Amino acid sequence: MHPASPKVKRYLDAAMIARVATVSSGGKPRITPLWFVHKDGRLYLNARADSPAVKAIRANASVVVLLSPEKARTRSRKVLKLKGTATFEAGKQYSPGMLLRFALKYYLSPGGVRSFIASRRTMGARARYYRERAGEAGGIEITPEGAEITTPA
Amino acid sequence: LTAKQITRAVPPADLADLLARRDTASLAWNAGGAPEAATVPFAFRDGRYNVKPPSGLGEGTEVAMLIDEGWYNAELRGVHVRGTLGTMDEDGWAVMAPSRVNAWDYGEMRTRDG
Repeated sequence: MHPASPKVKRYLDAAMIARVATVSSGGKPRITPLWFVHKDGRLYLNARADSPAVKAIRANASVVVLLSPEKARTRSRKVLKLKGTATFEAGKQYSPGMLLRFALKYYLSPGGVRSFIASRRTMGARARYYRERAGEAGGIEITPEGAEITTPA
Repeated sequence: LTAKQITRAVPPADLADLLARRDTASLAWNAGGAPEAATVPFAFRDGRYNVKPPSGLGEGTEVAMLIDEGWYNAELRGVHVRGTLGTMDEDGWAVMAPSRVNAWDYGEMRTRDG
């Protein structure tokens, strides 16, 4: 399946979490759940520069991404699998349009607002968690080169 | 470097409910130097990670497995298990021998010694 096909876009629209498989410089596999948005067939994800996923991508740009159509609220267990290459940019400055995509998906959506309100007990700890990691953020950009729909055996 | 005081790490046992509830996991492995991955049947029984890997993956294959849930910040939690596949049974299930297990829960962030 071509990664730019309308079917792939439907999965990308319906997925909330990208599960990104990488291989480290030592050959160790890893799979990391990350927030993402997509535009023009490419995936954009936030990650910390010192995270194992980013270290792996810097050593080996090949990635596989698993995406479930979570928002579609279907009973389907089908999963979109994308194969592609990834790059990481430390301190990535997204355009206002891309920041808005992230905000609308994860913070300003009804579920995002509900989650924010429900989690006010730990808000102080979370604010400090991100303060302690300020300056470590960056952006991963994934260019898919192949796509297939899979079903668990 | 400033030591980080706040952590999202939790003992894997704290996510026993998630492990017990899920019947699929995301599995990754090294396929000749490039990553490969699939969603596979999963069962957590008696404290052991049982998976049904795709055909072609045999005993001793090094894999990474992810069982996670949540969409929004404070809901995100999961378990990442690195290890090797054990012997396949006649139905194609294998028990993972974990070498490293990490768990996190963004809803339970706290100071490391707290």
